[in-house]
Parts: sequence; structure tokens; C-alpha cells
Amino acid sequence: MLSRTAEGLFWLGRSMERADNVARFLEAGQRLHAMSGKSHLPGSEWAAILIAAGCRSTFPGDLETASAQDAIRHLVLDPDNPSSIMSCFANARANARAQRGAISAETWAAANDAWREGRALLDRDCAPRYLSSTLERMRRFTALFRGAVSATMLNDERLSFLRLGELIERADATARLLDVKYHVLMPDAHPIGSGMDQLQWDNLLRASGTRTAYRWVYHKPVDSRLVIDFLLLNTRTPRSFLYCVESAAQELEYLHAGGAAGRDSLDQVLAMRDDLQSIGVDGIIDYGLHEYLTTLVIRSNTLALSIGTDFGFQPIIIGEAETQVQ
Amino acid sequence: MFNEMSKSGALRPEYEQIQTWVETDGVASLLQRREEAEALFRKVGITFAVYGEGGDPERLIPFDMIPRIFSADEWSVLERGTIQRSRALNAFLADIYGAQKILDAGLIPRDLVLDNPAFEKEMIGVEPPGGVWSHICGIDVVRTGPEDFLVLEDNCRTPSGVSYMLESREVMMQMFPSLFSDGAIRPVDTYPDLLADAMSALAPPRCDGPPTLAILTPGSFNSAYYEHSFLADRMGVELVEGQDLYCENGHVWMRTIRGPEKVDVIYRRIDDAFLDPEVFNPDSVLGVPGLMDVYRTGGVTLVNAPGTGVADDKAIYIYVPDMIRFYLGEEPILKNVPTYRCELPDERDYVLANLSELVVKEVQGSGGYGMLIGPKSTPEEQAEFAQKIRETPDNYIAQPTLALSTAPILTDDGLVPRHVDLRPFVITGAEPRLVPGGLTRVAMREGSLVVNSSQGGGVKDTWVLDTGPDTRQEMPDA
Repeated sequence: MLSRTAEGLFWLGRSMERADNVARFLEAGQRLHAMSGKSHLPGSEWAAILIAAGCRSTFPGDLETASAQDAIRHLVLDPDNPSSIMSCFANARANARAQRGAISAETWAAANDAWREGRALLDRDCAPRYLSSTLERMRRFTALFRGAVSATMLNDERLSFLRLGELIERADATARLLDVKYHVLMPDAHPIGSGMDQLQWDNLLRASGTRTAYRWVYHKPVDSRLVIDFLLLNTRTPRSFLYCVESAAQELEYLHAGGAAGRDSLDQVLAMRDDLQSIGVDGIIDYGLHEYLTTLVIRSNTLALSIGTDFGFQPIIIGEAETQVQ
Repeated sequence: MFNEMSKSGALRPEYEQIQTWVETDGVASLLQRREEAEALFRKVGITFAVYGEGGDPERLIPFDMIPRIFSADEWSVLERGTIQRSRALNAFLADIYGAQKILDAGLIPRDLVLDNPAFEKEMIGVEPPGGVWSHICGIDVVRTGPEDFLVLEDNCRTPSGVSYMLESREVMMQMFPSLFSDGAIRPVDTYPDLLADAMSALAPPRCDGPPTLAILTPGSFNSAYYEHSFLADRMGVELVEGQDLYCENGHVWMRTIRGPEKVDVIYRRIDDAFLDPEVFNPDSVLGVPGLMDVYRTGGVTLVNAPGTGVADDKAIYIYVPDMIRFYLGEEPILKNVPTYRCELPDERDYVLANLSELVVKEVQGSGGYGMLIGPKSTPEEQAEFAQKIRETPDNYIAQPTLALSTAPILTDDGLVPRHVDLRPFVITGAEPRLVPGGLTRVAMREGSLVVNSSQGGGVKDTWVLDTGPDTRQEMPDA
């Protein structure tokens, strides 16, 4: 397979997954906003969402005073924001089109449909009263895409690169989502364990679509330690960081078995997997959750770069990748 | 004006099935299904790009559901005629880059060939594998009467449009399978296999073992990109861009996830000027540095060969019948459209005096741009062209306005006639072959003679019947 094809598939998977995650961030933001009441600084939860979505440098204007409307518009349809849902769909479709011969007809159709719908979005679709239905509609396309991929793609190197893009993006998004809590915690107003604190953790589970799964696993009410354990270290939920890393390790073991220019990506992913398997939730809390999440985001970005080096991608200029969570 | 659906006022037997179909299903319900057809085209992504006009750059070519039909006898003429023409054009290319016998014989003016901008001096003395230069040759044919097929122009460089031929058929078969149930319509889906076979048959001298094939595209923003990826997909070969290839140790290599892999035969869909920045346009980022060197030393086969453009030049076109006689010793099966060269004083005077009746074309123009259609033009436009012709006469040719045949299209008013042309594709590997079908382009506007997709033309499925119903009916008398 051409290196350029592998790279295109990686970004196809990554862009589609990012569109899905940005929609999740927006849903989390909407609920945080509704929860916050009037006692808070206006828009602070939107600042947290924008930071989590990696839009610190793309958002025009002051993050801390971002209005809901501006934040939503930036995340849904701002063409100048490479992570807006519309941009993600456009980017996914451009890669799908360039690699049309390497994906199944249904996968192409799903990416093409997502782009067609995404570019038809209007400002009106971002209004708070329409946002939920807009996000639901957009998420339908990402689900359709995942379905087309898993039901029709040949399980060979092509799918591996597409999956790697998806897994690294999801791992990254899960770490960033957890970090939203760091930015809106406001321990003075709502001490750990308070009702608001619990609601916020609950919101993170909802945003990742794993609230029910959490209850099945722990049979306990929402608790910060368990949410961290679940979203970072659980090996059964497809949304946890460790799950993504273990799956990425499998894909890279398969790809490297066929030969590659180097083995950095394999070494890195195995080291990440070993570290996550051994640290435990107490280890993370001792390390500092925010600090630990920051290292995870940096390591997943380094891994993405190493995959490129090992399989001959064009050198990536770091910028949009935004290695720091802050 | 010849209407292909009728013969001396009566419905031609080839179109009986169509007439019945339209009557049974009804115009309104068929028109509704046209949207379904367009949705299918858009779904698979068959769009072409029009930039610089604002709006959505990804346009859909209008598709008309009424197929254009050729009887087996009609097709036999076209098949022999286009293959004959393609053989002569290939012989001409081998000759002018080799011994130049036709120039020595004085049949074609030497300067018209050697000073032609499409004549590649880099190709002098090169002998491509199998002596084939234009492996894929699109011969544009128009019709003016039941027996009158004329060649409008030859396309020897990198003719496009074959994906429309294949997809039009696929859409028709998907939507109206019953039309195909009696097996009388010859299939076109062998095209990708024929092309792959032709490429494999012409492996370069320094290739041992089965050759690796690839299609070289300028990239996904090229207006014909869909076609490039479609063919790569159907042929099961890699679709490469210039950045994927490099030359080393006398071979061309592609960058893969496992490291370099040798490529032996490249169907390139980028123009000569961009092929190799070391030899042609130095600013090209689409091509591959060193490619020509590898090509000339037998490390790779290029399909089509560089320098083939000189054979489809509108000024050279005039001499194709002479080429057929000179190289093949045969009479041309398909005629040329009478053509006046404005460069010659007598012919120029005639053209200038009769602008309102002629079609004037730029010698280097394509896509229906830079032309004057006399009968449809205003006196101002004619004056403007007269001025241009006087300034650079060698840049223009003129042809009589042809009474192009019509084929029926489906409109709100039922079946109405519109002008059509045809581009069949001759593929030459071990030997020349014509796929039974082609790209039928149709002028969707009433009375219009311009069928180019960039100017609102549409496409139709093109049927070639296995044995025409008229043959069957006439058999008892024979």
C-alpha cells in the first residue's frame, strides 16, 4: 500500500472520530451550561469546552468571555476552525475522495453524505434551541460511517490505518474530556463530593456515552475515582484511554509484522500500554489528574508522529495538533 | 437533419423497445426516476469540477436516461474505422519520431509537424515497447446521415470520459434491469480488463516477471480525478501521484508502507509538460524527476507515450486520411469533416467570406472553448473572429456547420430530438481493440450543437446491439 494512502486513511479515521467527539464536547457543554445556573461567570464552561476541543488558538476573541452562541458556532461550522464539525467532515471527505480506491463503497458514501449534510449547516442550526437536534443529526453520520467501516471494510492494513487514526483521536478526546472537569471544578463553590461535583462527573460519563456501562461495571453511584478509573483504565469500554491504546497496540503489532522503516511507534504504544496497565487510579491521583492527562495527550500525539515516520507519511508540521492541554 | 430514432419517417426497430418502455412507464414517472439516477451518480461521486464560476464546484453531468443505440452493422463500420484510424495515427507517431518517411514523401508539410508545439524533441529516436504510442485513443465521431459517420477529431494524449461510459451503463442496469434481460446489448464493463491487459502486454525491456501497473494522477483536485480513481479501482492497480514516485537505479519506485516497490507500466493522466521537471516544465510538482531518463532507457513504459499530442492537433487532423493511405495502403473507412486551414491564403479568404456559415476553431483549443459557431453568432462576434484570424491565421481552422444527427432525450414534453456525438475508445496493447460502446454526449438545449460537459452538455448510455433486429427481419429475404 502507498504511504500516502495509509496517511489518508489515518486522517479519514481521525477526522470522522474528531467530528464525533466535538459533538460530544458540545453536548457536555450544553448540559454544563444548563447546570451552572446564574451564579457563575458567564461562559466559563464554554471556555473549558473550547480548550478541551483544542480550540484555544483558533477561537477568535477572549475564551473566558466566550458566549454560548459564539462557542457553538466555532465548534459546529466555523470553516476557519480545523476542528469544527463541518471542517472535520470536509477533511474526512477530502481524504476519502483522495483514497476512494482504498475504501469500500459504503464507507465512501458515508463520508460523502456527512460532508454534504455538514456543509449545508446554517447559523440557525447552532441556535441553542436547535443544537441538540443538529448534534443528533451529525452524530448519526459518524455512527453511519463507523457502521460502514466495520461492516464492509476488508480487515487488512487499510483498515488498520483507519482504525489507528480513530483510536488515537478517541484516546486523545477522552483525556481532554476528563480535563474539562479540571477547568470547571471551582472547588471553592462546589467542594469535591458535593452535589454539583457529582453532577459534573456524571455529565462526563453522559458525554462519552458510557453512563449505563459505568453502572454495569461498578454498581455504584457516580464517584470521581471510579469515573477516572473507568474512562482511563477500563479495558472493556471502547471509549477508555487504555482500551484505545490496547487496540492501537494490536493494530501496530499487525502492521509492524509486515515490515516498516522503523519501530518507534510500536515501542511507544507498548510502553504506554504497560504504564497504563500498572499505574492504577491511586497512582494517577497521586501524580495529579490534570498533569497525568497532559502527559497522555502529549504521548498520544508523539505516537501519531511516530506512526508517520515508521510508515513513510509526509512530515507533519505540528501546530494544529496542540500538544498541550493546559 | 438525421434523427437516429427513425428511418424514412418510421420508428427504427432498434428503438422499438425504448418506445414501448417510455409508453408503458409514462413520461412523468420516468422523469421522476431521473432524480433517482442523479442521486446514484452523486452518491458514487461522479462529479466533475468547474472552477471559477462560483457556486458548488462539483457539478453533476446531466444524465439522460434514453440510451443511444447502434445496430451491429453500424457498429462494425465504426469499429473498423476507428481501429484503422488509431493504427494510422500510431504509425504516424512512430514515423515522425523515427525515420520521418511521410515528411520525406512530402505528404505533410515538414514545419507543420516539426514546429508544432506538441512535437516533443525529447522523443526523437525513442521506440516505445510494441511500437505503440497512443495506447488509448478517443476518436470523436459525429453522424450526418444513416451511412454518414465523420471523424470530428482525434484524441491521442490522455482522452477522458470512459468512466461516464461505464457508470452510465451501471446506473441504467441498476435502475432498469429489465431492459437488459434479453442479452442483446453488448457489455462495456470489460474496458478496465482490456486496458490492464494492454498495459501488461507492453512491459518495458528491463522488466522481468509480471509487470506492476499504476495510474499516475495529478491528484484529487483534478477535474477528472473520479475517473482516475475509478479505473485504478476496477483495474486493481495503485493510483499514484508524483509525490509517491521516485527514480533510482534506472527504475521507477513507489513509496509504500513497506518501503519502495518497483513500477513497470504507468498509465499517466498528467500532461507531457508536467511529467518530468528535469526535462519539461521545471516548476512541475505533479511529475517525477528523472522519469524520462528511465523511460528512454527501457525501465518503464508510459501510457500514452509523451509527444502523442502532435497527432491530434487540429491542423494535422486534415492529413489523417493521407496517413491511412500512406502507412496502411487502405482507403479511410471514416471520413474527415472538410476543413479549411486559415494559414493558406485561398482557404483563409473563403473562411473570412463565409464566417456566418462555418465553425471556426482554435488549432490548440479544446473543450468547446475558443470557437465560433457561425450560424449562431452575432455580426460583432464574427468581426472579432475575423480580426483574430487575420492576426494569427495559423492558429485557426474552419469547418462547415454540420447537420449533426439527433437522438431522443426525455423531457416534460416526452421524447424530443437533441444533437449528439460519440467518443469510442480504441485500446492498443498487443493489438487494437474497441470496446462496444462509448461516451455519447448530448446537447441538452434545443438546437444547440455544443455537447461539451463544460458548456452544459449531458451524457447518455450508448448501446451496441449484438445482432440488430433489422438483420433478423431481413434474413428471410436473403
